[in-house]
Amino acid sequence: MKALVIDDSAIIRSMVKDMLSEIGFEVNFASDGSEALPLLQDTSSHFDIVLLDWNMPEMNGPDLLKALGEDMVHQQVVVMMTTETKLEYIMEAMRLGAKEYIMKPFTADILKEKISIAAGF
Amino acid sequence: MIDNDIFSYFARLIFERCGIHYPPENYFQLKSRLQTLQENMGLNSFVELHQAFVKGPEPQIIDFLIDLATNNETSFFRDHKPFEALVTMVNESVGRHPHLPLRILSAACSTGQELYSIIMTILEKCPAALQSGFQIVALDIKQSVIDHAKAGVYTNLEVQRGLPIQYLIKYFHKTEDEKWKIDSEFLKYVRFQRFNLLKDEFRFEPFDIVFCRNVLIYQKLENKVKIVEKIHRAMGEDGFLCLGSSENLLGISEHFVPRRPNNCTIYQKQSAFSQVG
Repeated sequence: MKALVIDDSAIIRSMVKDMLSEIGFEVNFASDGSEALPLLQDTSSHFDIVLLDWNMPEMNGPDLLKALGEDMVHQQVVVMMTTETKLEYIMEAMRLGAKEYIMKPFTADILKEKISIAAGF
Repeated sequence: MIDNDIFSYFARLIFERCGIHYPPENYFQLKSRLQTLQENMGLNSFVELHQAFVKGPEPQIIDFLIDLATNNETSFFRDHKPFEALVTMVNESVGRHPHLPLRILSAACSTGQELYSIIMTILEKCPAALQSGFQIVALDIKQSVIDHAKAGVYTNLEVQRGLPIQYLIKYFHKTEDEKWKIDSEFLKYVRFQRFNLLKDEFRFEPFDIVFCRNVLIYQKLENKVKIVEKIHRAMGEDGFLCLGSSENLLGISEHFVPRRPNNCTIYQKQSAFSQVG
């Protein structure tokens, strides 16, 4: 199974990599939306799960989802992973096609559980 | 006094108060819980902790010890499958008496995640029960967790354990101190009561569905038998009993028939007719 982790924090990328590797994921990275956009538009590659931060330089998480467009977002299992915890942010992410929402800080068991709920594993 | 004598003293005290049995091979668990208690009381050793209890501690200290001993690990929709099986249990129960409200027991409701998961499941997936009406009796031995359940307020971490985000959006609102509070409408379905499953007698029975998960696992066999017999008496004909994923009724009761809806083992009370047969 393949995961794409889009986050500008190297610490978060490394922590999430460890958590996902432990449950058998091959983990790919992008440090913001503009770096992730071509990876997600490339139809030859497929990710089983996309973990997406909200606040990033260049292109943030919601802007990435808008740039991808509704159809392409719905082909992915996108889980927001962010420090934004207000209800309106959560609703905005869901409106843009995210399947789940993780509020930082989180634990490995929460990450696994949310991935399982979002992807139906 | 050596540590093992102290652990044995606290194991006996915990057993007398709430029936939870810590055999010597589990003293390492007891040790870490007593460590927490000792630190909270500002004491320097288990010997001092023991002396404080022998002198007679404040009642809230005993409550705190019971809190620690019973380990309130819980999450929303814990283990998933029981809540899928709940839909079957609810639909069959409503079918048996369509005009009477459904009675559900959450025998150890802890901080409320199980009982609110039951309500969310019924609201989302059991329209027939909404027509007949339903009532949940939520019990726990500890007042502190009942107060938590009644308040229905959870941290970011707590609402992320098992709760799908759509349910968070639909049934919770954000509080001023950045926590999440369950829809206050949920409380109209629930009666809370502090209750000792070994000592107190049920009211509000008969129950159609009983959730008694991860309670028996901590008990000695004689107490398991006692609790299951008490629950059996409080259940209606053909009522359903749902236990924790690592619990079963082998050697405890023969008055239930195991069933496996949605790949989850539950137990159905044998009707008077089939018991005679």
